[in-house]
Amino acid sequence: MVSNRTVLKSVYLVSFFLFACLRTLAADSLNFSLKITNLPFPPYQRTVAKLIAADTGLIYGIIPDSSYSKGRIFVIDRENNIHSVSRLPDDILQVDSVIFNSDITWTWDRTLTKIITLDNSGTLKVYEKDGFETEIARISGTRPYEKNGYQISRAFAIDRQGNVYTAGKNGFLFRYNPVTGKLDKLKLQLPAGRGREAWASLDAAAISENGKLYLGTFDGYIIEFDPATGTMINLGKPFRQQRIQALVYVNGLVFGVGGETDGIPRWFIYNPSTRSFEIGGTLKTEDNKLIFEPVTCLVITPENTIYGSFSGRLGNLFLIEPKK
Amino acid sequence: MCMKFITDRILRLLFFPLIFCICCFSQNKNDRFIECEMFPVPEFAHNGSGYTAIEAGLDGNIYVGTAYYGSSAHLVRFNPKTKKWDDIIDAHRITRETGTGLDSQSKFHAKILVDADGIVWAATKQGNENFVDRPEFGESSTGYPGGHLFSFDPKTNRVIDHGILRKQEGIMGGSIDRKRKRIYYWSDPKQHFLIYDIETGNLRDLGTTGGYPRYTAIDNYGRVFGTGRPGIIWMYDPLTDRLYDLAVKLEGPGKYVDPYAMVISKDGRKIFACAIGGDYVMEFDLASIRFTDRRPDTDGSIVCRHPAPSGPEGVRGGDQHAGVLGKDGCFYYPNVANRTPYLMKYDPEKKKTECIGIMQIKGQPDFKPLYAQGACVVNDGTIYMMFISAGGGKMMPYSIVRFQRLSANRTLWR
Repeated sequence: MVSNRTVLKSVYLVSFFLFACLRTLAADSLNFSLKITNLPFPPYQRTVAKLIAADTGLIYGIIPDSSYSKGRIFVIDRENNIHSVSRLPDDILQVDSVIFNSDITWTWDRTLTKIITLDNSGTLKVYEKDGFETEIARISGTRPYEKNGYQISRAFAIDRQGNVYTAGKNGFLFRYNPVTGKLDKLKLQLPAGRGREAWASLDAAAISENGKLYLGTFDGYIIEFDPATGTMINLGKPFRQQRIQALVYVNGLVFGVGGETDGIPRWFIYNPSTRSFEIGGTLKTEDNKLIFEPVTCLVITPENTIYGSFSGRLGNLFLIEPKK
Repeated sequence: MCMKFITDRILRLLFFPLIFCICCFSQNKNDRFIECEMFPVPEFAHNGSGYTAIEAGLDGNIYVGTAYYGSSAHLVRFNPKTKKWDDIIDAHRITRETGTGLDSQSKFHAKILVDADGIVWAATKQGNENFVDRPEFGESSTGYPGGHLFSFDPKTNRVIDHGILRKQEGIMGGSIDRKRKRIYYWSDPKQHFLIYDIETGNLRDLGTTGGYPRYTAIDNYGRVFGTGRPGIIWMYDPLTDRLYDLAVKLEGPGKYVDPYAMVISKDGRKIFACAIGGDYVMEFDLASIRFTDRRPDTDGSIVCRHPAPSGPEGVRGGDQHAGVLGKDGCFYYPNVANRTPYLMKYDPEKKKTECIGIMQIKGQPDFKPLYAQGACVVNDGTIYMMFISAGGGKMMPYSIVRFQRLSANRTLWR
C-alpha cells in the first residue's frame, strides 16, 4: 500500500522536474549572441541619422547637415561596400529640408511616398511630392524646468495598416492615417514614474511579425502595443538607466539598445513568448572593442542582419549578425 | 741582463691588469650596469602600483600619484634633500567619496602637470577596470562618479578639488599650456578630449579621439598630440579649436607600432616616442603635417621616422612604458627585454640610440626595476623614474628611483 505521503513526494518530484525542464528550455530559447563587425566609415566625423532597407536589398543611410559639411546620402551594397549617392531611388520621397535636418523627427509612411515629421516645437507635418507641406497639429507639451523643453518624441511607429504613431504631451499616443489625413489622440499613455509624464516620449519602435508594436521611451520603458485591439502592456525597464536608443524585431525577438547618451550603450532582448528580458551587456565588436557612443539607428534586412550606427566624433556603422 | 730582467718583471706584472682592463673596456655595453638610488613610496599610500603620474615641481620636490586599487589613491611628495615623503592628497578624504572596487578613486594615472606659478595639477581615475563589461558605467548600483581634478599650491599648502571632469569617466593623459592657462586630458574609457580652462574653470569636451595614449605632447604652438586610432596621431590645434586625425606615414625601416610614451623635443619641432614591443625609437616630424594628404577617414598626415633601434644591440622590441626628455635634449626611456631592464637614450643630433646600461638599485642588487611607469627630469638633469612593485627574484617595492644628473651627461658607471 502506497502511503499518501509517498504519492505527495512523487508529485513534488515530478513537478520539480517539469519546472526544471521548462526553465532549461526557456533559457535555451534566450541564448542569443551577437557578431558585431565595424564597417569602414566614409561618414567620418558624421552621425548617421537614419538607415532604411530598400526592397532592392540595398541599405540607404542619411547623414544630416553639420556645421562644416552638407548632408549626404550613402548606400551599403550587398558586399557591405559603402558608396556616396546624390539621391535616393525615385520611388522613395526625398525632401532635403527634412532628411538633412537633425532637429526634426521624421519617417516615411509605409509607401515611402510621404514623410511625416515632428519638428522641435512639437508640430506634426506631412510632406508629399515636390516638397508640398501640410501642418497637421501640435501634439507636444512642454517639459517643466527645461528651457526649450518641448516633449519631442524621437521615433514614429507604423502598423500593418500604415497608421503612423508617436507620442505627444504627457506621453499620450497619437495615430495619424496618411491616406485619410486623420489624426487621433488615443486614450493610451506611455508609462512614466509619477511626475515624469512630460518625459514619456517615444524614442524607438519596432513591429513584430504579428503586427504588434514594441515601443521604447525616453525613461527606458518597453511597451507592447497591439494596434488591432488598442491594448498596451508596460513590459518594464530592461536597464536601471533611462533611454531606449533603438529597437528592431529579429528572429521572433525584440532586440534593443539602451542606456543614457553619455553612458555606454548596452543591448537587450525581449522574448514575447516567455515575456522576459535578457541583458546582453556592452556592444562588443569581433575584436572586443566597445561601442562607447549612443546608437542612433538600427535597421533589419530581410536576411535578419542588423545594420546600425553610433554617433560621436568618430561615429561609425556596424553590422550585427544575431546568432540563436 | 739586469735591464732585461727588470723589463720582463714589469711586463709580467702588467700582464694581468692589462688583460683585466681590456676585458672591462671591451665588455658589451648591454652588460653594463647603471646604478640608481631607490626611494620607496610610503606604504599607506598605495598597494604596489602607480602610473604616469610623476613630475618635478618648481619647488624642487617630486610629486607622485599612486594607485590604490579598490580604495583611495594618494598624491605624495618626495623631498630630494631630506629624502622624506609627505601625503598631499588622499582622494577619498578630500572628495568625501566612499566608493569601493571599480567605483573608487583608485588611481592618479594622468601625468602630473605643473603650471608656471608652481601649482601642481593631478587627476584621478577608476581602477581594477573590467574593460569589456564596464559594470561601473551606468548599470552597477553605485557606479564610478568620474575622475576628479585637483590642484595643490606648494606655497600655501592648499588643495582644491575642482570636481569631476566627465561623469563616470576617469582622467588620463595630461598636457598643460602655460600660455593659454589650459589643461588637456582625455577621458577613460570613452577617449573624449577634454579642455579645462584654469582661469574660468570651464570644461569643454571635443569628442572622442579614438585612442588610449598614456602620454600626450604639446608643442610651442600649443598643439596637443596623442595616439589615436591604429596608425593615426590626433592633434588638437588651439587656433582652430579642432581635433584632427593625422595618418602616420612611416619613413625608414621596420613596421609602425602605435607609440605609448611620447615627449616633445627641446626645439618643439619633433615628438620622440617609443612603443610597447616597438623595434625602433620614433621621431614624428611636426613640420611634415599636411592637410592636403587626406584619406576618407583622416584630416591629413604626419611623417614618422625610425632613426634607430629602440633596444640595445641585438635586442628587439621590449617593454617601453615610460619616457622623458633629458635636459641634454636626449630622449630617455626604459626597455625591458628578457626580464632585463635596460636604460636607453636616444640622441636626436646623432640619430642614434645608446644603451646606458642595465638598471640596478644601489645597495640592492637583488631588486630588479622591471616596470617603469613614469619618469620626470629636474633642472640639473637628474632623472626620476617610478617603478611598480615587481619581482624577478626579490620583490622590489613600489618606488621612485633617481639617476643623478644623468641627462646632464654625468652618469654613475659601474
